[in-house]
Amino acid sequence: MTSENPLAHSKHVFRAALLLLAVVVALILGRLFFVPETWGEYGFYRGAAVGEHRAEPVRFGGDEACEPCHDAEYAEHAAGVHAPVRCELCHGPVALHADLEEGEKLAEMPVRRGRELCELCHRAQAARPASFPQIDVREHVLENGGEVTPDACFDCHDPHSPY
Amino acid sequence: MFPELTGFLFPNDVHIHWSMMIVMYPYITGLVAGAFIVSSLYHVFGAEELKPLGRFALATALCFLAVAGLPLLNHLGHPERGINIIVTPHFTSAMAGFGILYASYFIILLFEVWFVFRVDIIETAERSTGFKRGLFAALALGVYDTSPEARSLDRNIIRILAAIGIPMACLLHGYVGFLFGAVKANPWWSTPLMPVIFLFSAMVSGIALLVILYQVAMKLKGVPIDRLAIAALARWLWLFLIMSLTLELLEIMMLAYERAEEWEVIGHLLTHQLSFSFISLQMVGGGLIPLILLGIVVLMGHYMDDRIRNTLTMVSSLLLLLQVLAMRWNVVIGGQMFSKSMSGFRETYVPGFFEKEGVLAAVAILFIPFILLAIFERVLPTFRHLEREEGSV
Ligand code: HEC
Ligand code: HEC
Ligand code: HEC
Ligand code: HEC
Repeated sequence: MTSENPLAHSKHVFRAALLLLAVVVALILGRLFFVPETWGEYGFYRGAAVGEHRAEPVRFGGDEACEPCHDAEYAEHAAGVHAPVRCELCHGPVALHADLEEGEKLAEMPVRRGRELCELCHRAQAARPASFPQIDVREHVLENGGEVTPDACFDCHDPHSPY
Repeated sequence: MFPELTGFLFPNDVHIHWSMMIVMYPYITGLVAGAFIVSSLYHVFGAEELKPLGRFALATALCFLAVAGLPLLNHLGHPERGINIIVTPHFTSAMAGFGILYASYFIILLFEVWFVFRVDIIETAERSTGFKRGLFAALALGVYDTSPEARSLDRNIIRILAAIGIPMACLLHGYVGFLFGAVKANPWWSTPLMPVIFLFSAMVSGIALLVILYQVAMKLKGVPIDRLAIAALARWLWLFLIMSLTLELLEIMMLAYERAEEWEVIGHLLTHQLSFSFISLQMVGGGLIPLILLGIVVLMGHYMDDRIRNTLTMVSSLLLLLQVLAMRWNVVIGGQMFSKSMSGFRETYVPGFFEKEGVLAAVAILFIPFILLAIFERVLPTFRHLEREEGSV
């Protein structure tokens, strides 16, 4: 009998331990393949991410970007009370709509003709600065003799120059 | 649709970024931790009455652990970078803890499963031929030692692995609670109780899941349901439910009694936005009712017909699975329903059905472990040791 030898029946345990060792080694070797190349260049992140973000094309152009093609809207807007509100805030980034270098239109620009666009900024909220013009939509529309519809605001206001 | 907002919100308070997937993640890891604890009650603490479930609970834990990362991967914009969390361990971020904890717990669980099922693997290898034999021989790592000495060695190793597994399971789940508990800008999350609450609700959900799966499995196999096992599960379930509800209420009561400024927000949240999921589901429907039903089973079990006991624990378990899901929802989604300014709210949040991180995706992910479990059961039957023993008596 081999009962004097305490290790006689532990062959499978050694194999399992070997397997565990293999897993650990595989994990360590796996790092060679899976850890991104520029990891840790600047800190605990992928260094290349910085360059990638910098290389993203600029998508917003400011109001001036619209002027060459929409001079009427531009002039109207610049002269009105909405002058501090950027065109692209209500519409969308210019890069998706027009190629500025070629000077041509690429795709439709979103037009959000609905009162939720205006409510985003003008719905009365307790915590907004009191000096900011804000309204209770129903009250405001009825007070001025209008009808509460999804695009009520446009019956009386021009979005580019509300007064 | 533009979300209905009231009061003052910062621009980055408007969206619910941590979606259904972030609800499912702690839910699934909780099921893992709970199922594992049941198997450890038997393997480490010698709770003999849980023997019928010892193996099954372990298999359940493994199958659910295998998919625990899926909701996170689905949540990521770049799932292919998910592996980075494993290969670049880090000790200063709780979120990075996932990599270390998940990987090491998975390894421990795999080895425990291997030692528990080793004899079955060998017997299958000896019984079969061809490819299947080769596969099982490889699974047995080429050693066919089923001597009593080898088995007793196995038992000792299983006990050690299961014992290491307990703190690991608690850590894997506790760190999720820690993630929320450590967000100091959010008074609904930021409490040291959070990891503990998560842990106890994990036990509740895991045991409830086993009660259901065990009863269904026995029905399918036509084997009578073990009375002592169900009674023991009901006892543990009751205990953990009491702990979990107590802690959940304790947290709320502290906030309510202190009347600090955050109660203004949280009180409103609980009675408005979360009134159904918190009061109706988490506290009453999924909390109080199972508490009473399980209380009846535990306190008056001696006079109870088996059928009644099984039904009562089954119903309680179904309610408890809902309760824990509601609790995860209330924490994860609830914490994003109010502004960090403490003076604004989002009124509702309804996840889309077909969205990438919507309801369908959540249900699909939750379904996978059951398929895995069915496959596991075919490859390595988890209840065979019972049949074998009955045959040998
Ligand atoms: C390169 C020229 C060009 C530039 C730059 C440009 N657009 Fe346009 N845009 C056009 C053309 C062409 C049309 C189509 C005109 C038409 O259909 O009458 C158009 C149409 C539109 C429309 C109407 C879409 C509709 O469905 O009726 C809007 C709104 C608009 N542009 C907004 C903008 C804004 C805001 C900017 C600046 C951020 C801008 N555009 C910059 C060329 C340009
Ligand atoms: C406050 C939000 C807002 C701002 C700021 C704004 N727009 Fe508009 N814009 C609208 C809305 C809403 C419509 C649709 C109006 C309608 O259908 O009556 C519109 C329509 C347009 C149109 C389609 C033609 C038309 O008049 O129906 C063009 C072109 C346009 N805008 C260009 C601009 C440009 C260029 C600027 C910046 C100089 C600008 N918009 C700034 C909200 C805005
Ligand atoms: C992005 C935020 C924003 C959106 C969207 C917006 N506005 Fe404005 N609005 C402003 C700002 C900023 C002012 C200037 C406030 C000031 O002068 O203090 C203003 C001014 C006004 C004024 C003049 C108020 C006054 O008494 O000076 C009116 C009227 C108005 N907006 C109507 C609208 C309508 C109608 C819409 C929807 C088409 C709209 N606004 C969409 C930001 C917005
Ligand atoms: C029936 C016409 C009518 C409609 C519809 C209407 N307004 Fe006005 N609005 C006015 C008039 C007239 C004024 C200027 C007198 C005043 O302050 O009430 C005004 C003023 C405002 C002001 C400035 C209020 C202040 O206190 O300075 C805002 C902001 C405004 N409107 C936004 C809106 C928005 C947003 C909508 C759409 C929900 C809307 N309006 C719909 C007629 C209207």
